[in-house]
Amino acid sequence: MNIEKIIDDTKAYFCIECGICTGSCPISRIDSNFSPRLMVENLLLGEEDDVIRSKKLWSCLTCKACSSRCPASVDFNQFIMRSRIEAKLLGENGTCTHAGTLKAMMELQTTEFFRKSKEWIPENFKVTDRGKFYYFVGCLPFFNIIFKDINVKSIDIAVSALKIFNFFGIEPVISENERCCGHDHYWIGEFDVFKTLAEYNLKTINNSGAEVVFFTCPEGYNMFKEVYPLYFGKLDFECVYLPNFVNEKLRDGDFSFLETEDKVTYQDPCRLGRFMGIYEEPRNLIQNIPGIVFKDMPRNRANSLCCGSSNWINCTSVNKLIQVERLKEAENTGAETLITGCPKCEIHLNCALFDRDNNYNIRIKDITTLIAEKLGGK
Amino acid sequence: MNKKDPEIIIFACEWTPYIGADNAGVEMQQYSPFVRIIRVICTGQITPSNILTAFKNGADGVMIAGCEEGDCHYIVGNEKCIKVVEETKQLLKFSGIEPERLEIKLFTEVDGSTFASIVNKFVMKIRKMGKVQTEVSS
Repeated sequence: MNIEKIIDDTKAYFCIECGICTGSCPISRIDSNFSPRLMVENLLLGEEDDVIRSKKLWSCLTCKACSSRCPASVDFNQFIMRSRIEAKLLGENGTCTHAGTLKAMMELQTTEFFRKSKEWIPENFKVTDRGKFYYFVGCLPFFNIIFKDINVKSIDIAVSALKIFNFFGIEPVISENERCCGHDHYWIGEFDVFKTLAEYNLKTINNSGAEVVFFTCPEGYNMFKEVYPLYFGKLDFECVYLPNFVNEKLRDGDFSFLETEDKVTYQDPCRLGRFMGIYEEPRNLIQNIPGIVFKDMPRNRANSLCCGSSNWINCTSVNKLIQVERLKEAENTGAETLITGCPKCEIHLNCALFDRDNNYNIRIKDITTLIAEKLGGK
Repeated sequence: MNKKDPEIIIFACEWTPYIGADNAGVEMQQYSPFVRIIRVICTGQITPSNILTAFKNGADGVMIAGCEEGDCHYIVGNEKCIKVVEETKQLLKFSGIEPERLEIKLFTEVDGSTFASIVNKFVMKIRKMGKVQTEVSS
């Protein structure tokens, strides 16, 4: 086993057993059996089975709350990811949520005959097949079908993105050959699937002649910007998170927002915040919409709480409690709308809204949808 | 087996259709050799991932054989499956696979000839549509 290599690569040997990771972990707060510190310690002490064979390995949210605070800079996310690869070799597996539908859907995309239908594009929007600007739609059309029973319309995000593009006079490329970004398979240790998906994506984007690729999903953005270059070398195109692009346009004074009336708060997605360090741009956008009262939650920016689930594995009552905690925190700010930057946050928090014990007076909205709704004159 | 031959998966509920398949053998009914029958306890246990994985692994058609509505041994298993099939058809449509390749058939009788004729009909339909992979070259 490559246990020594995991320890070397993640610098786990620097661990000073301070326990800040366990103290920061949203899972450990609720499930005291889950402890990042003990996992690192057990692996260092040679008790690999306690880590690799354990079901706890699959509970980690990979939200980076631990490693962003670690005084010894142990990369716990990589530690979990690499341990999961080892665990997969031994036949261990996490429990897939939604009966494995999402995982199967992503694996279906590794086949050659897969074509992502463009049927969701409304007729009055302009898109092209080849051009300078590429829009990476990702999993949004599928989420829209799978999560319609919890009132999540993920496709609204993609349609809003088209509206923003057309507003700024951009005709984005949308390709049928595009695949899932491979984020979930990367983090659950199925490296082969991730690599196949990534190769398809890079081929598609390079063939389209794109110079700039836009994302509305922080997970895809993070994968393209930080993970793909690790395995495929420098990419031939630039990656841009769409709200960041709008923020630049706003700074240049290219357009203005419509007036509205709303009280909002903002949830930092882990991939956007702690992974990519984008905290201020979305806040700046929200605060620039006239009439919006913005108030941050007590835990914000790098201290933000995860939406409670990721990678579509091991969603338990623990994850539900994290989501309920976050929703209450959002409600206590007096906000009526919780803005988030990630389609998955939207899905998970919406799922928690179905909690029958509490009646929430809060809606969840994606930032791209908000921007598209409030786009005003140039 | 010829490369052009379709590969078809049938998920058969053990309460009616699977008995039908059994009887087809006893009655020496002839039906297409391209089908592979997977017995399930109830069609209610079939998830979209089962169907999607079948297509991923090279199936050209998937038929789900359940019991008649109101006749489910587990009360609502087949009704649940109808919803699952509907959702999966939408997913298939967005993946470049014709939704017609997936079908749910509810069986009322357990005799072999019914089973054989329904299976043959489905196989004929899939044969006309061709392999999933052929769409790539065309």
